[in-house]
This record gives sequence, C-alpha cells and structure tokens, in this order.
Amino acid sequence: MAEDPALDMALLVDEQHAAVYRYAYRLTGAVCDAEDLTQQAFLAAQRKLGQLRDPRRARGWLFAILRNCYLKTRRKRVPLSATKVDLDMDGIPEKLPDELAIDPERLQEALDELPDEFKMVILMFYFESCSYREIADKLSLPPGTVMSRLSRAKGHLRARLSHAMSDEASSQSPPAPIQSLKLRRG
Amino acid sequence: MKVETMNDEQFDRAVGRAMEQVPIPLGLAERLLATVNSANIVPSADGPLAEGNKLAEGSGLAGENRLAGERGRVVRRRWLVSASMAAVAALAASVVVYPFLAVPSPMGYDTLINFVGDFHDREPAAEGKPLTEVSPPAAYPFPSSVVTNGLTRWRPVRKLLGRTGVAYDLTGARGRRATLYVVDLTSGSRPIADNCVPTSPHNNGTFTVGRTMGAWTDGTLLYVLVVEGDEGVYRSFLRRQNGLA
Repeated sequence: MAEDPALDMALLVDEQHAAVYRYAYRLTGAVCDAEDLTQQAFLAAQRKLGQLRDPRRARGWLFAILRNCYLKTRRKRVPLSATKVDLDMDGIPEKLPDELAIDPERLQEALDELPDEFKMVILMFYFESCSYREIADKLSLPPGTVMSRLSRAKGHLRARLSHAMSDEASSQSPPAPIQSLKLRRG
Repeated sequence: MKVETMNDEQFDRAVGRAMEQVPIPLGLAERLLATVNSANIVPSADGPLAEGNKLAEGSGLAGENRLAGERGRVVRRRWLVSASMAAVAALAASVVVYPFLAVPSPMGYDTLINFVGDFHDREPAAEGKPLTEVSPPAAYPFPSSVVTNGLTRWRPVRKLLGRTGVAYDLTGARGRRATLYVVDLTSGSRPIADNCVPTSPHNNGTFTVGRTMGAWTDGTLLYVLVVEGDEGVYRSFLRRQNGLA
C-alpha cells in the first residue's frame, strides 16, 4: 500500500466498496444492515491497515474482516445448530428449469433461510471462489465438514430456487408449499 | 453422471452470477469515505453520528437543557457536511494524485486470472468477425495450441490489463463456449510479474464458479483462455502436444 494511510483508505473504499457491499448484502439480506456492516468492515480495515502487506489481496482481506464483523453482530443471537438442518435430498430436482432464470431476490430469500454456518461456507465458495480446503483453513474446520455443509447448502438453494421457478412457470396455480427442507430452530 | 455434472456447473454459474446482482446504494462510497475520514480525525470505532455527539458535548452544548438537542443536531449536520466535503476533496485529490505517486506493483498469476475474469464478466457481448472470412491483426495471431472448430470469431478488445488486443470467441464440442484473449505484454501500464505465467498452456486451468481459466505467454504475447465449464472442458480446447504440462 502507499505510504499515506488516508490515500490508501480512499483507494480501498473506491475500489472495493461495491464488492464488499454485495457480500454484506448477501450475508445480511437487508439494505440497511448491509450498509452498516460495510461501514463496520471498512472502519475495522482502517484500524488494521498495517496488516495488509499485499494490496493485491485487499479484496480477500476485506472479505475476511467483513465475515468477522458479521459474526460479531450475530453472536448475541441464538445460534442454530448445524445438526438441525434436515434436508430431504429426494426432493431436490436434478435439473434447474433454466440456468439464467435465478432471481437474485429469490436467491436472497433462500440464503436468509440458511444458518450462518452454512451461509458462510456457501458465500465463501461463490463470492471468494474458495476451494473446500481454503474454506476449511480459513474457518478452522475439517474439510469433510465444509464439503458436507456446502453440499447441503447448495441442495437447499437448488430446491428453493427450483420450486420458485416452477411456481413462476405455472402462474395459474398458487405457489406450492415447499416440503423438501425442514429447518428447525431452537 | 455426466448430465448431473453439467447441471452442477450450470447451477454454480447461475448462482454465482445471481449472487453478484446486488444494486449498490447511491452515494455509498462517499458515505464510507466520510466515515473513515472522521475516524481519522478522532480515532475511534464509532460512526459519524457518535463522533458528532462527542463534538457537541465537547463544545458545552450538552449542558444546555432546552436548546441542546437542536444545537446538537445543527453541529452534527455541520459536521456531516464538513466530513462529506472533506471526503469528496480527499477522493478528488486521490484521483488526481494517485497516478503520479503510485507505481503499480507487478501482478501475479492469480491476480492476472482474476482481472481477466472480471473483464470477461463486464465485457458487453459483441459479435466478432468470422476468423475464416476476415483475418485478425497479425500482431495477435491465433495460437496453434488451441483447438477451433471453424466457427471462431474475433473482435478487438480495449483496456484489458491496460492493453489493447483481440478476443477470439470459440465454440467447442457439444456447443461449449470459450473466449481466448490475446494482448501484447510490451504495452500497458500494469506490469506482470516475471516468470509467473507459463510459456505454454497448462493442462489444468484454474476452476472458479462454473468456468476454468488458464494463461500462458508466447514471446511478448499473453494468452488467457476462459472456458465455460470444468477442467475437462478446458482441456478439450487445447491441442495435445508435448508442451502441455
């Protein structure tokens, strides 16, 4: 990074704010929360700016800070045990009706239903293009756990999005209740 | 099994694209800059409103019962306006000064791949010219290491890694699509680290969400192949030869 921290932050905000905000939005599912979280992340980044040795890794570094900020804000809430996600794999269709027909808002609704443990893994996969091993390293989890969570989270998204798209296609009938995923909270 | 694999790829690609479709609120960058600039003035993790409150308290306004809230709001508003102006000025200054101060560091292979991937995503779809009918510029030749089925089209590209070049749009077996970018390494403002890019196409590309990419050089030319699909599809676009790693 350049020698002037203010200049660094201005550049960091200018270049990375959109990517960080998108990630924050997918984590929180709300515009206001996403902006608050983005702000927290950049403030934390400003305090830790000296830790960023390689500016080319700024995005990944900011994403890691963002994830930590998000988890801190969620700590006070009652966590949902990962073992309590029951997924009916038979209910997941093999095909999506149309790969381009994924509605970003439907996607967000499906993401919002995932517990944080699952959401974190799937966002790292899609947003940060992390491999199983990289996710496992970053979250200090066994690779098998990461694979399992990623598989189940993808299954949930696939089921939700497939049902949503099927519902849209058959506009004559009201949306059918989704039976394939049972999330038990508490 | 094959069909299921293809469906997974389609799914990953579609979800990856949908993930990115988040509208950015207007003025977000300016608000963030104002916040981080204010944190510079008074080092604190608090947001701008909290800092504004501290300023109001420090000026003695907190002790005045009736007008305290109103004056506090005025001070906060002034503070916010000042912070916003400072942020805009800082941003403008950084835009003007940065090109003269910053010497871009050479990018490595992964960064190069990410840059080209971002460029590929942002690039508007354009119909190229058929390779069999119109020859591309001789400076950006089609490499012998890449397999083409005769439906290849080419088009000029600009501002790829700060360089101009040519993009070849390829169609492979079973309608698989790929794009091959070619730029001249001797031009451009963003250097690429020495020896980080192989001199022949690597057999295994870099797989990200729904696509595989690989880069190699040939003399002063940089080739980057972006394939929609996994590494097997990527390899199907490369001619088997001794040079393959």
